Amino acid sequence: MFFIHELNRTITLHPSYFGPHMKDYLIHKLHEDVEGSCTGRYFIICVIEYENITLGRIIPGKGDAEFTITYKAVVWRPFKGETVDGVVSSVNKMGFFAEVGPLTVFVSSHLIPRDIKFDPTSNPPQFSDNGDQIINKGAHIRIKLMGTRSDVGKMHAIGSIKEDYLGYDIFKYAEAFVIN
Amino acid sequence: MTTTHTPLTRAKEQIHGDEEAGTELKLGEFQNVSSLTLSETKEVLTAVFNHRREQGKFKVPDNEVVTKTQQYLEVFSRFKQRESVQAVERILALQTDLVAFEKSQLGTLCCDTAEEAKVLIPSIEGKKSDEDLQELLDEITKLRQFV
Repeated sequence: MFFIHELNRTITLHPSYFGPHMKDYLIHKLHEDVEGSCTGRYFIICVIEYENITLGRIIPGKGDAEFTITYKAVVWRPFKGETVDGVVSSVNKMGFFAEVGPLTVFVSSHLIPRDIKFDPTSNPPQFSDNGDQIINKGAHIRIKLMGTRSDVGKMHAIGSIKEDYLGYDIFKYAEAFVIN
Repeated sequence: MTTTHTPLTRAKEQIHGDEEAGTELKLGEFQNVSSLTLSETKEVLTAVFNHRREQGKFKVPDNEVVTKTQQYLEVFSRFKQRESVQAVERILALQTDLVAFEKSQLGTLCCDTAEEAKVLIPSIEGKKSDEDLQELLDEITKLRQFV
């Protein structure tokens, strides 16, 4: 789910940067540090604007100054139990990987309905129920997130398509191509 | 000279790890944060980046996360015109019985039936009658045709 979240960041500046463009440099550094980063719990996509920059506090014993910036950013946070759409990026007999925005979600074959089976003979490999449900690379898929794991700077997730209204729906997604 | 206030108490440690969007929404630090549909997010990012390009002072981020996100939004945002995005937001804003997360999910997933919406967004169960929910979904679907 995308949110507009208010966050804080503390940036330390070397005294050589004290000057008329100090604020611009701080914002530039903020963008560089934070945009496109993953905290392990959510991804920060883009800084919208800053609310406040504190006065610089000189660190005792050094000449550097510490600034705390309060800013608003577009953030993406996946939740367990959330329904999301994604694009299948790879398929193997254990299941398939799908990309949901910046996150890669793994759907294990155990969480795929039993009538959709792995077809090793087809090229490219795919999951299929020999009807209209075909899951191969590039397919649009609706997934329910079952769990997320955080790592330093990364996130991993697993998902399921075993419930009603999940999986591959040709009619729903076909319209996305027609309208474009 | 500035005086910084030292807080008298330490902020309470937040318990992480049990956040989920199931039949009950436990969103942790995001419980009261405003959420966005995919179409809205696309509008916000486009506006911010265009502003940056025009101003010339700050760069548009160029990394994998941002690029992947923009591509994802391009594919899955259901409402391509700004007018339809705003119209959907107006309709959703009127729903005082739903919270932000549920409203954004409705505008993102674009369900056809009330049954589908209740399965995909479990916390909606009980908050609206099936007829009201179906009426809301039909209004959103109508806006999808205006491309």
